[in-house]
Amino acid sequence: MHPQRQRKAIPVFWVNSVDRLGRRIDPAVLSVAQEIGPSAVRYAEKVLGDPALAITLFEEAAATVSQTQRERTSRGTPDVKDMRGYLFLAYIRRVRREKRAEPVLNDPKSLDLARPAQYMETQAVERNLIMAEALATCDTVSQNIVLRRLEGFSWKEIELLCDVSAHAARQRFSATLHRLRSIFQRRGRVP
Amino acid sequence: MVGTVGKKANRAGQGVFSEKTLVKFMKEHLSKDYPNPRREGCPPKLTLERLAKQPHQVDPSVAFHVFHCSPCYKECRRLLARVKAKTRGSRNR
Repeated sequence: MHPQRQRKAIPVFWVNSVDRLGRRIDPAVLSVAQEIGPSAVRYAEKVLGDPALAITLFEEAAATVSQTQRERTSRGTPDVKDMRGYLFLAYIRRVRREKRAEPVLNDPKSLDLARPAQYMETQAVERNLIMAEALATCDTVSQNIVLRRLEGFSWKEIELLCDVSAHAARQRFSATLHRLRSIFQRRGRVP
Repeated sequence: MVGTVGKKANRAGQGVFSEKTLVKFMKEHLSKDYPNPRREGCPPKLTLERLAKQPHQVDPSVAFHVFHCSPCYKECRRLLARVKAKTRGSRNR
C-alpha cells in the first residue's frame, strides 16, 4: 500500500531571504529555493542528522548562488541556465564540506581503522554525496536519458521517446558516468 | 613500459568503476536516499505517466523531482517498465 499524496496538511517550507551571514537571497533564486527546498533539505537532514543545520546551509548556498548570479550579471556573463540543478549542486557541495569537517571537529581519531563501522558509514555517506553531486550536474534531457537507461531501454528506444538522437543520448549518458568516475577517482573512493 | 603499466592501471580502474557498478549505485541512490514518507510536493500519477511516455511534454521540475524523491522514482520505474514492455510488445507483433 503506497502512502496517499497531498491528503494531510503539510507544514509549509519557508526559506529566509537573508542567510545567517546577512547575505541577501535574490527573489529569482529564492523562488527556486522554495521549490526545491523540501527535497534538498530532507536529503541533507538525512546526511547531517540536524534539520536546523540543513536549512541553515541551504540558505547559505542560496545566498552564495545569488551572489554568483549578481557577479555574472555585472561581468556580462550569461545567466545560469538550470537554476534548480545549480542551486542543488551548490548545496550538496556545502553539505559535503560540512560533513567532512564533522569527524575532525567531533573526534580527531574517528576515522581511525580501529573503528571500522564508523569508517564504513562515513564512506557510504561520502559515496551518496558524490552520487548526488554528479547527478545534480545533469540537465533535464540527460535526466530523462539516465532514467530510461537505468531501466534497460535501448538507445533506439531512448531516441524515439526523448527526442534526441541515439548517438547524442549515448554521449550524454557516458558523460554522466565519466563525471561520476572522475569524482570518485579524484576523491580516491571506491564505489 | 610505462605506457603498458598505465594501460593496466586504467583497465583496473575501469573494472572498479565499471558501468555496471555505477548503474547499480545510481539505482540504489535514487531509490533509497531520498525518502519522502509524507509525499510532499509529489506530482500526480498522471504527470509521472506523461513523464514516462512523453518526457519532452513535461515540465523540467517533474524530472528534477523524480531525481530527488525515492517514492516517485520507484513509481516512475514501474511506469517505465510498463512503457518498455508495451514498446517491445508492439514491435514484436
